Amino acid sequence: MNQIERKTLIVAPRPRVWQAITDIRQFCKWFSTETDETAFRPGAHVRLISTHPGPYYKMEFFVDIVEILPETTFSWRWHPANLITDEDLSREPTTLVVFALEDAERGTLVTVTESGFEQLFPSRITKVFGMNEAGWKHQMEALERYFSGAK
Amino acid sequence: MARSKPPTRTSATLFAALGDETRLRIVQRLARSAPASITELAAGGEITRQAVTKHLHVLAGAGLVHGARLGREQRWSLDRKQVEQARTFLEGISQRWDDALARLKTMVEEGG
Repeated sequence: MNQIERKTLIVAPRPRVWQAITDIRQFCKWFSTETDETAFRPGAHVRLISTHPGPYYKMEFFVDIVEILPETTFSWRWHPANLITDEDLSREPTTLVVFALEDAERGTLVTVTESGFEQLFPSRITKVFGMNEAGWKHQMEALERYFSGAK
Repeated sequence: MARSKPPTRTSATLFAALGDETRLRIVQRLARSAPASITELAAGGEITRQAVTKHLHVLAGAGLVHGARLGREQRWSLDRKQVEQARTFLEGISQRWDDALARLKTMVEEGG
């Protein structure tokens, strides 16, 4: 399975966490973006502008909302890493980002998965990311971790 | 859960090539040691020479390995640049998710 999975436990009830993720105003705060839209809706093509200080400041990107299942699942499609290029991405494949919420002992467990990287072509990756000459052994171990659990 | 799209292109994409346990094992094996032959890659494992050959061709199609003839034998080595690019790519994306989730956690827990 070619996907990234990240989890975080938030000490707050599920409705509160859900609101922080899916209310577009609150979303923009922690996602470091701004938008003219007033809500996320399934099927919406939402334009966001990065407010994250640094090289991508004020660059625009888009998310296509896929699914909104109250307090359970919120998902979108987008072009990963699209903030770091000026190239036309319209023909590039997209990845699927899914936020899944579940009750945990002390709050709410949020799991983000991003999948579909196998659709991205090597040329894209080469263009977007430069090379880095860090230790090879470390690189292989890291790669192994990313793909561990692959079935 | 690789998408089973018909192989209209002969060159598999980088991540599709790496998204298979056997192929990842071959990549790891090639990363640890000098160029290896198909016989060496098949030795000690449960995979046949035919399977190794098939997987090597998928990896070669993605530019991850290449073969060179040494005497009567074909020796296979890893193109580390390609593997490194895949890793750098995923690491960059993972890092951004970690940062974003940390900001979400802070905002919710500190009532911002």
